[in-house]
Amino acid sequence: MAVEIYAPFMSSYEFFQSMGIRVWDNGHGHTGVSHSIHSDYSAVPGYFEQMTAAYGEKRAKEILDENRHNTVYFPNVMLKGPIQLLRLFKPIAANRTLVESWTFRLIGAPDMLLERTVMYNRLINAPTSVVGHDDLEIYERAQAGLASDGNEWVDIQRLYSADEPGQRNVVTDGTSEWQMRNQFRAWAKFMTMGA
Amino acid sequence: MSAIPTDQQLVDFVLHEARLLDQQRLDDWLDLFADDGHYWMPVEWGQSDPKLTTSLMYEDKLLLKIRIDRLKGKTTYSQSPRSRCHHVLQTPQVDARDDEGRRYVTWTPVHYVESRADQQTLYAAWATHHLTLVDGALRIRLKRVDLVNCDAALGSIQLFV
Repeated sequence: MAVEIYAPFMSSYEFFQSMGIRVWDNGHGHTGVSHSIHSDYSAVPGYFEQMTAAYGEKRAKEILDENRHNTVYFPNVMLKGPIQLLRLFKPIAANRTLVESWTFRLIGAPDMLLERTVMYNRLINAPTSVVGHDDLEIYERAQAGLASDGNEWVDIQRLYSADEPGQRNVVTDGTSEWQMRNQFRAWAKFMTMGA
Repeated sequence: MSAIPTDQQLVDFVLHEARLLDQQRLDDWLDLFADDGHYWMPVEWGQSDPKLTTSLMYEDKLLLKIRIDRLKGKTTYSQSPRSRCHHVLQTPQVDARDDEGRRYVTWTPVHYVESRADQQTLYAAWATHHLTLVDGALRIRLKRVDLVNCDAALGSIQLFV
């Protein structure tokens, strides 16, 4: 189970590029349209049967085939549907953010699902996570860069196209920064609403 | 070691374990674990379940090995510059001994300092070692580390308490 969780983090550039990003209105969106780091997890014995009993086989398949990576609800909620995990990002100061990680137990489902959820939380989200250590290091280096006056712009124009604004619910390349631009467009919209 | 370890040998084992961590002799440290050994750092006060309640760490020997190998990696950004650590232990107390079942438990209050570049952080914890004998040598079945502030919003802890 631990190997299944860790291994996809070392996937190729092409894996992340082709998994796709869906950009929704108002700054929301999700990574992992066609596949994600959660796609190849082993089936949990008994769960599909329970889902089929509850929803019928067709609907159960549709639900379980949705394997998004991160679903982002603007401005500060991130949800991992396939593993029942939610993170909340609370800005406290310009150089301080509190990250809360919430794990969920599906009522009546096999314990193995919860076991995977809490294992993922330990390996990826915890202050002791080796994945988190390198992520945080990069955020902190970026923060140090932002605190300097070397460059007043942050470049998020990767795969930009001029016809982006106004397009709704678009699927784009997994390495596009469209979703980041989408968040800043939403921010500008809400900050100026009624002004 | 004779068939039955003395209390002093149990104490020495725990002190030696901390020394290996401080000197970052991590491969030697990993060898102190039994093949089915675990390192557990709960996130809840008085936590009893490592599997269905989340923890800061609950790792078997394979996961510990991945962690140690990663610390040596050239693209490990968060280890450039590297972290260092320092343990101050109270004398370990032997809480339980079962010579027939080869099970021994020690309890050790610990102050742990982790530093990296300009940052230095102090953690206080209690380490509970569940030890056994493998081929006549003491080995760790479970090292449980209860941080005093286990449920606080913590920053990165990169090495081993």
